[in-house]
Amino acid sequence: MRIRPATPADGAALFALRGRSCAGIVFDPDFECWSWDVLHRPGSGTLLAEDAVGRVVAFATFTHDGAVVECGMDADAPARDDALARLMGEVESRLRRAGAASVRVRLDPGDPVALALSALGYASRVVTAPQWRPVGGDASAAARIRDCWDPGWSVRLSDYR
Amino acid sequence: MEEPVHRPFADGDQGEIVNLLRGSMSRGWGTVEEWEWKYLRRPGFDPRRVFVAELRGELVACLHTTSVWVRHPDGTRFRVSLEGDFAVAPRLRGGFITGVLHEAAEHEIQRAGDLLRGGFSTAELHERLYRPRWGYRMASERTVELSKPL
Repeated sequence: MRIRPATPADGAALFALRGRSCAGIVFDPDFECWSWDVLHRPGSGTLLAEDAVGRVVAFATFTHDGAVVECGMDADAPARDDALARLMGEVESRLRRAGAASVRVRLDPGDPVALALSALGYASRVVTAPQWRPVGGDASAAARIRDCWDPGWSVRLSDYR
Repeated sequence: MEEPVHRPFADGDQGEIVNLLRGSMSRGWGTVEEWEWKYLRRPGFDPRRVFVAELRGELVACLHTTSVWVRHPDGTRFRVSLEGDFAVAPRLRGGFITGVLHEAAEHEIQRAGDLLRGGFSTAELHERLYRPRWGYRMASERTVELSKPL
């Protein structure tokens, strides 16, 4: 397992591992917007973990005040837990050197990364939730989205929180 | 009493918007460079989706919206308006400018064809403003913050 900074050539591999939402609804950006939001964020850095054959297994984009603004993991990779542990160890080390007091990651509770971070000793607390309404009170729009509205759903867009 | 007037973003507003956000948000805000990354230079930026209000030439309120795609379990993709960085100069809070900007955005979002509008809020603000005034519903899902001291 190797930890290294991401380069623009890694963009597609990271996009494939980007965070998913829960309750059956996924935020579905195009690559150009996602890449801009995550990989071009001022003052941020991205590290990735790749296995022996060069497959990206996990990544994290973080700002130097300690916020991990995007992360992802190949949930099917056998070495995923080791990859995430090593990756976060390096992220923590860099943030410590930058003077951050803590590392903070916002995720949906069911995200595989959230479960893995809990196993690594990260404490969890509820911080926010999305709120929604149909545009213009449009009944047909409300009916169309009711199935995903009522059970509750969220999109993963830490940049806008 | 003179009333604020609203209009879409115009190039050159960046500095005033960031000053307003810095003076209005309890946790502060970032830099002009960060604002430009988040909005102006983002692919697909539409100046009609950023709303500002002026009073005697001073920028006193702003609301930012953008269209994003989400995917339903049945495979349907649809657009929603995701909104944030809604700020009103502290001395003008409690007046009608909040509603004026929200309504201005509604018109533009309808024109764009988005099915929903929404964003992230605290439970307190949701109960005090968004639910009673505009009928927003809070999703039952929650975002968690996982943290570790360094």
